Amino acid sequence: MMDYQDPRVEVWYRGASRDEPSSSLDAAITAAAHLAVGARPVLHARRPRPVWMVPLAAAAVLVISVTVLRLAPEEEVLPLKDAAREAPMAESTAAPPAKPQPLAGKAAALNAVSPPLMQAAPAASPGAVSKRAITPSEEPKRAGPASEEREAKRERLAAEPAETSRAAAATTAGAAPPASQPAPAPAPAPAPAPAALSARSAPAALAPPAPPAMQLAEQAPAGRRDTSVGETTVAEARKEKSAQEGKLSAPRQAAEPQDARAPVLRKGLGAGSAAADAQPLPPEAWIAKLLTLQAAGREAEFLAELAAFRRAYPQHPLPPPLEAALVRLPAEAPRPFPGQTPR
Amino acid sequence: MNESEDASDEDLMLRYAAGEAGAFDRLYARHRGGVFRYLLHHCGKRSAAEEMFQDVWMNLIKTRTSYVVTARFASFLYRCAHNRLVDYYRAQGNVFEVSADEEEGTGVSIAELPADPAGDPAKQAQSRETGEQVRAALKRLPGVQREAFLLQQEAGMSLAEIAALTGVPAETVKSRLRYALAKLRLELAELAT
Repeated sequence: MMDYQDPRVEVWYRGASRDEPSSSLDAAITAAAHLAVGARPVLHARRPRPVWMVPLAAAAVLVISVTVLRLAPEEEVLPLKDAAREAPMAESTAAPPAKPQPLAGKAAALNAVSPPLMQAAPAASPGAVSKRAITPSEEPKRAGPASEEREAKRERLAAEPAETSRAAAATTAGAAPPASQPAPAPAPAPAPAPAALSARSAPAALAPPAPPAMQLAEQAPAGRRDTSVGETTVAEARKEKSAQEGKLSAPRQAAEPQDARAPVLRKGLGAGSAAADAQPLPPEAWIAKLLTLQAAGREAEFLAELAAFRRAYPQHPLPPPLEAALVRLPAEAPRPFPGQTPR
Repeated sequence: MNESEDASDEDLMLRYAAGEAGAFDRLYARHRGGVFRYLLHHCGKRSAAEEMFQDVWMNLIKTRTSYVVTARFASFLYRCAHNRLVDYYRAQGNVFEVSADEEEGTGVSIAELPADPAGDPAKQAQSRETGEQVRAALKRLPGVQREAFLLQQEAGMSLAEIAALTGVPAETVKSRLRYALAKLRLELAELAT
């Protein structure tokens, strides 16, 4: 053996010295070598991903996707539901119903079914004219696409505080206040009152309070007292409801557009008055007839007619001579109870 | 066994210089441990060894196109490592030159060194020694002896190759190796007792 070699030292050395460069250093050098010759670097240092990671990741993605899909529709619908819940509250004082287009369609259908009656009514009450003067401007909005309805709902929600307070006031004061008291816009009215119409376009804080219905009626000419916007919309709503029930009779159709207190009128009509059931006259014509009877001194007939009129139109404003004659009516004559809520 | 595994280092280096990246991988796998241990046991610091190791291989990558087979590839590679070590020691302010005093500085003559220790040093080493002890023993060797021993063990160089690399006669290398082995045997004997 050569004296500059010792196998035992070599074994000792090799057995004890096993140091090697780190894997990151190996990776860096080999990557540099591969890049130098334009080859794709081999990532020695990258540890293979565990097999269980792929199915676990897929399952996690699936669960998250399903959860998001199940939650997302609720999040989208919730505001609409809320808006739908709050809309009636706002609409009770100001906003139009969600289905005004069918209203117009039903009105047209009613015109087609009983043209003479429906044509007579507008002639007798110019309120129909005022109604038609308002509805065309409203109907394009009502007949608009769903997005426009949503926009309108948003605007109504923005104006909700003022309208809600008004609705609360209407609820406490009753939906059908006495004719002698200045009342806010009728609560059940589905169509916009003038104040509500202004509230739509104006901010809630600037929205003026709805003028009392009686005040509107007094501002109107005597022949047009029943033609205010609020009354017209009440009649509209009544028409819709009656049409839905399929119980709309021809005489009622003729009377409804001119009726100022529709819910009470229905009650009066339901009382079985022969005069009312048998094609009651329009209020103006009836008042003219009553004045004629009073002037003619036909007291019994006048009182009977006045009682029938009151039953048919319990809250219709009367001229002073007839108002004064109300005290002479029999006790059983239906008189509107202050704050009575119409059924 | 395919052709690449049988190829010599020189052939692999030429193929890598021609653009075959896989040849470098095989070349690197063959020499990475030896070069690293050569540097580590020489300087005794892992961080410095890693830095020099990276420099050696990066230099090889850069100069691949100028590689010409004039000797064994290992000689070329370890010459690069040796030069890097010289730079390192110069930067540290240490003298890497060989002196007669250094070779004789142990104060122990070769005759006094344990020639063949009794017992089985391999078993003793395997059971007791650790890498730290080896490094400590190597660190106690003079630099030139340590280098000669490491070049012999890690690069597998012959006396002539070590002499060519270090620029000294082969007899000087032989002498350095003898001193190194004798001291290491003494270390082993101390560990055994």
